[in-house]
Amino acid sequence: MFSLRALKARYGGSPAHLLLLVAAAALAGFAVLHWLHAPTPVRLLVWFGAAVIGHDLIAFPIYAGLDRLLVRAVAGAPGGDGISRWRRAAINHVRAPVLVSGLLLLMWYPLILKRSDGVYFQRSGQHQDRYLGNWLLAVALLFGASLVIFAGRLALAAGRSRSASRQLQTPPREPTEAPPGPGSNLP
Amino acid sequence: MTPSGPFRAEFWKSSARGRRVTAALGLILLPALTIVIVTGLLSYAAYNPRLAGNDSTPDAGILRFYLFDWPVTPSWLYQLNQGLHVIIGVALVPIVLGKLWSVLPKLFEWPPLRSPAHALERLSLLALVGGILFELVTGLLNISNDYVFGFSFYTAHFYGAIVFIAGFVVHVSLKLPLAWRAVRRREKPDDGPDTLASAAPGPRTISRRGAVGLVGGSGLVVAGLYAGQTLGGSLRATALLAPRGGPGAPDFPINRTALAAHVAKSGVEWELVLVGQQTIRLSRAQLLAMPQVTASLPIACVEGWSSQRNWTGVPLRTLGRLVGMTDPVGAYVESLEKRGAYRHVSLSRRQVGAAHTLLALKVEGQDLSLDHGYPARMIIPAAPGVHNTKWVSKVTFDV
Repeated sequence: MFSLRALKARYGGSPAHLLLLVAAAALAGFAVLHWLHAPTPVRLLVWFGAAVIGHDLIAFPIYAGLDRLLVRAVAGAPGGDGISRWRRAAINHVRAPVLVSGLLLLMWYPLILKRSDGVYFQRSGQHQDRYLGNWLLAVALLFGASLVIFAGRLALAAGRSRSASRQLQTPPREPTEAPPGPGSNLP
Repeated sequence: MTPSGPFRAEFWKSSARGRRVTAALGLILLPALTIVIVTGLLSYAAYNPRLAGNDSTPDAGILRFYLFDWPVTPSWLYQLNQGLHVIIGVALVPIVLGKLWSVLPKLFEWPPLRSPAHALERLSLLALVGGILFELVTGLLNISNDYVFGFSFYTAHFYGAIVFIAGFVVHVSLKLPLAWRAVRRREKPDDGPDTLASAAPGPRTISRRGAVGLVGGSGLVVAGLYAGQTLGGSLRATALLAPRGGPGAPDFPINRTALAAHVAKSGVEWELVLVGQQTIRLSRAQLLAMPQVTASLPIACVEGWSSQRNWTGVPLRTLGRLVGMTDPVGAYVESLEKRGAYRHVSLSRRQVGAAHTLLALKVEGQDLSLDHGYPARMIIPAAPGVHNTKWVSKVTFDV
């Protein structure tokens, strides 16, 4: 005989869970059926498949590898005693502009690399020549802003450390042990 | 069988991962994606897909079921809708990627399937993850005019959205309570250990708060370098990385050149054909001799850019009365253009009757340029940009 308890035990979830997932599968299947009737079903499914693995199996190994190189370059080989606060800040003041510059390139490479210049010209009457310069300007602004903020934090911390040492009459500290600046590690 | 490689929990080193990070990113994504979904569905409705020839995704079946006619006021309605859709869509790219990063160890959890329920849940993630990345990629390629994918953007983006929505509804239903508890710090015994946190963390290079800030900040920056093309005017120059923005980009963009449409400059021989109770032909001089109406209306593209202009011309309803149509139920507008998806449009009764639905002859007090639709073009308040048919040759009013 049908019993809820048996369903839960065998299925591993509540009846509502099962209903929700079946309804969602039906909706997704309904949409995919329309794709199968399109003139290019294989292309659509290949692109969808690429989207499924695009981040996890393609993008992640690349950016995680690059990030490891960055951390190693700034902080040296991984040791047991962690990374000091200011080295960590340095990593992130490089990491942030690299990340955003890379994202902008990833999102707008058809414009930056003039990949779609032909269609773009037909549609807008303009060429895409300006985008490489625009991107480089954005990269310069991002790195510049990050550098200025980092320099500001260092100067602020050095100033505080000097005034603190005057008050306490203790010898000046190393910058790596400076008291924390305002805000997070980020610009 | 013992797990190895990424299937071992110790493989994942980042100390920044954790339930609260994922929850915070999820709670940013929930309202943002909801807006993108709603504006996306509204954008489809804005095309009045029930009317002949307007639907770019034919065979939409029951998905074409819309209970309302697209309004004509406020005139910036489509500009706002599409601005939100694309600006938020752009801002979501880093946040979606950050969210995927935060849960990546889950892809390799061991055992991979614990129960039929768990198997179904993982299957639904195909729709969620594949759906959102497919939508972001096709959306970005479309607004960059890079049609490398080789399928219809509309078919892909519309049905891709339905697949994504299926995954999204499941995911929000199952995970929202967990996310809410995690950010409110109401950890309960049945929450179990933080399975998103690394079991063997490496040296800390960023705090969890910093990681969320980095991801969210990236979203704000990429959107900030884009949004100017929707706002237009002097802000357009700030949109360094937007398809119709940046310094030197024209503030009155063109969506299809006369060159591409194979439309040559018409001389005095051009006549507008009006079909109603009777058929008449009007020259441009005759149209200019009629009472002119000037309206400030945005032209807003589905691709997210827009531009506010002062248009001058003859209201479409005035032209209807000339051919005995005092209250037409609609109108079918045709262009001189022989090919191209938007060489025609069906307008609703409300659109035809609106005081500011113009057959425009001038913009900013000057004759339209050929690329902007000379000798005459439509401008319809609150309608998608491509419905403002250029190089109009004929208008048929429906009884």
